[in-house]
Amino acid sequence: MHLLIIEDEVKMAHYLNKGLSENGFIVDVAADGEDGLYRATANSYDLIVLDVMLPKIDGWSVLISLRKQKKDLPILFLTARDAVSDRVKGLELGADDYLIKPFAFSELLARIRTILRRGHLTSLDIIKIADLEIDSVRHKAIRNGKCIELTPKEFALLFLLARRSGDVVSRTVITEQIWDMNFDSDTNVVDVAIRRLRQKIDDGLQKKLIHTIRGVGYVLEDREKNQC
Amino acid sequence: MFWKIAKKINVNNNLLSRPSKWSIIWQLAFIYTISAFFVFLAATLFLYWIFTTQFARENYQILKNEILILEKILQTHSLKSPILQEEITVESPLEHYYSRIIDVAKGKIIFETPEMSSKIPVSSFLELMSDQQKSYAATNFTSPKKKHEKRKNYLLMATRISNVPSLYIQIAMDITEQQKVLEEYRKDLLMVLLIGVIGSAIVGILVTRKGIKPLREITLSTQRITIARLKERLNSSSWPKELSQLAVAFNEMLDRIEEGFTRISQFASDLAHEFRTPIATLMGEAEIILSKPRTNEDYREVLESSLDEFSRLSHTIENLLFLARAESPAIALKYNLINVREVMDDIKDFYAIVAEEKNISIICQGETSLMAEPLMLRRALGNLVSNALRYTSQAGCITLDTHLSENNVVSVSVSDTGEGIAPEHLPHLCSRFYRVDPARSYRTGGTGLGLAIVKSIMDLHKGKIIIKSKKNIGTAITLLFS
Repeated sequence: MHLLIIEDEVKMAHYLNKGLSENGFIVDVAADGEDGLYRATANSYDLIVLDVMLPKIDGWSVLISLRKQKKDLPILFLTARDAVSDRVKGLELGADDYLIKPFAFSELLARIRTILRRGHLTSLDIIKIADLEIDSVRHKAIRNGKCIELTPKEFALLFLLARRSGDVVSRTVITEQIWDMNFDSDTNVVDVAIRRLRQKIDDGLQKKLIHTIRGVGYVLEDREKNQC
Repeated sequence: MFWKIAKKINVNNNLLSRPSKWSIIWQLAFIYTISAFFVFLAATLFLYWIFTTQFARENYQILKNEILILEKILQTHSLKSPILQEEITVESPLEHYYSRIIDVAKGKIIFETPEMSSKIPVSSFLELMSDQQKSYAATNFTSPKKKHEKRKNYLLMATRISNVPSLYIQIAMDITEQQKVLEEYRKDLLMVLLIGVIGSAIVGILVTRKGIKPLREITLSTQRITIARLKERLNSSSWPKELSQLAVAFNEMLDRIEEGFTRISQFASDLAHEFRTPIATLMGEAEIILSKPRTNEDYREVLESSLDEFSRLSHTIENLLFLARAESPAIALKYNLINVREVMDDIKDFYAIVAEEKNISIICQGETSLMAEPLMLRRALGNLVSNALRYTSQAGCITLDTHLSENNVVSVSVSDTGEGIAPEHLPHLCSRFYRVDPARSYRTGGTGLGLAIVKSIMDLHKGKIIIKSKKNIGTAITLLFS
C-alpha cells in the first residue's frame, strides 16, 4: 500500500512516516501543498494523509484540486482546529475521514485501515485467533474448546478487539463503539471492562491473547505466532 | 398649541433619524431657534393685530358718533342754524376731522370744514354714497400727491339725511399720524423678533453645550481606559439624569468586561500552572533516562509513562476546547426531545462495571423528557456520575432521579452517599481546575474540569445547577432545565 503524507511540520511528518512504514505501508512525504499536489497527481497512491494548514497551497485547495482530478483517491485530513464547521467543510469537500490533532497514532492507523478496507469487507461471521473462536452470529466465544459465558457488552468488546486483531484499539474507540459514549471519560470504565474480559478469556491459560499497550490502548493477538 | 409641540417633535425626529453631520449642539440650537422664531412671530403678529383693530374700532366709533350728532342737528335744526355751522367749522378741526354737508340735488356744498375741499374732494365719497344699503360704512382714502406736502391718509364716512333725501353728510378723519405710530410699532416688533431669535439661539447653544458637557467627560474617561487600567470608572454624581443613566450602564459594562477579562487571565494562568507540572515531569524523566545508557526495558518504561501523561494532557486540552466552544456566542445547539430516563439508563449501563467493582449500586428513578442537545446532556450526566463514583466509598449508593417540578421545570439530579463537600468549597466547585483537596492532583482527581463543563452545558441550555452537600452524608447535584 502506497501512502502520501502532506504535512509541513517536520517532526509530525517524520513520526507518521516511521509509524506507517513499520506497519507495512510505503510512505512518501511532501512538506507543502504545492509539492503534495504535484506528487499526488503524478503518482498513483492508495491514500493521502493531508494536513489542512500548509504553506504555499492550503489543504482545502489541495483537497478541491485532487477531488477534481482523482475522484476515487481516498483522502484523510488532519486538523488542529476542531470547530465543527471545519470538519463539516472537509467532509463536504470530499474527504473520506478526518482526525483532530492531537490524536493517537493507533487511531490514525485504524482509520487508514478502515478506509482502505472499505468496499471489500470479508465475511466476519467466525473469527479465529489462536485457540479462540468467536461466532458473531450466535454470540458465542470458545477458548481452548470451552464455551465462555460473556455478558452482551463483554462479547461486543471481544468482537471489536478480534475484528481489529493486531491493531491497537484505543480507549476512546472502545467507549464510542461499545457504549456509544462520545465524550472522554475521566473514569477507568474501559480498564475495568478489559480486566473482566481478561479474567474470562486469559486467566489460567499459558498463552495470553489480550495485551495492554500502555498509554495507547489494547490489542488482541497471538503474540507467539507473530514472533515466529 | 398641541399641534405645534407635535410638529416640533416631528422636526426633531426627522433630524435625529437622518444621519447628520451636524453636531448635537447645532442641531438642538437650530431647533430651539426655529421654534423660538415661530413663537415670537405669533406673539408679535397677535399684538399688532390687537393694536390695529383697536385703532380701527375707535376711529370708526368717533366718525359714527360725529355723523350721528350732525344727523341729530340736521333733524332738529334748520340748515342755517349756527350750531350746525359751529359744529362743522369749529368743532371738527379741533377733533382732527373734517365734515361737510352737501346737497346732491343742487350740487352745492352747504357747509364744510375749512380746507376740506382741497384735501378731500367730494368725489372721494361717491362710492360710499352710491351704496345705499350700508349706512355708516367706512373706507380708506389717500390724498393725491401734491407738491411740498406729504400724502395723507383719511378714513371716510358718508350718510344721507333721512328727512331730506338730497342732503348728505360727508365726514373724514386724518389717520396719517396713527399710521405713522403703527409703522413705528411694526419696526419695534420686528426688532423684538430679531433680538428674541438671536437671543434664543445664543441661549440654545449655551444650554446644550452645558447639557452635553458630560459627554466630553465620557469621551475622556473612555480614552483613559486600557487593558492595564480597567478599574477606571465614570463619575456621574453631578450629571443630569439621562446621562447618569448612560454612565451607570457604561460602568456596568466595564464591570462585566473587567470580570470577563479577569476570568480569562485567571484562566490563562491556571492553564499554565496546570500544564507546568506534567511538562516538568516529562522533561525530568526524559533528561534522567538520557543521562546514562539504560536497558531497553528502562527506555520503554519512561516512554510508556510519558504516553500516559501526554494522553492526560490531550484529554485536558479536549475539555478546555469544549469549554471554550461552549462559551463562544456563535455556538448553535441542535435541540432534540430527549427521554431523560433513557439517557440515565445508558449512563448507568456505562458506569455499571466500575460501580460493581466498588460495590456501589446505581439507581435510576423517574421519567421525564426535555429539549436539549443530546450529546451535551449525556456528557453532563456522565461527568456527575463519574464524580460521584470517585468520591463515594465502598458499598455506597448513587441515585439518578428525574422529575417534573413546579413551573414545568425538569429536574435531573445525581446524589451519592459519599464523603460530602465542606460548605466553604461549594461556591467554587464549578470553577475550572478547582479541587476540594489540593493534594489530589489531576492524576487522582480527574482534570478538575468536570463540573465546569457541566456548568457551561447548563448555561448553554439556560438552566441552573444546584449543589447540596453534607460532610460524611453525601452530595446531591441537581440540574434544572426550564
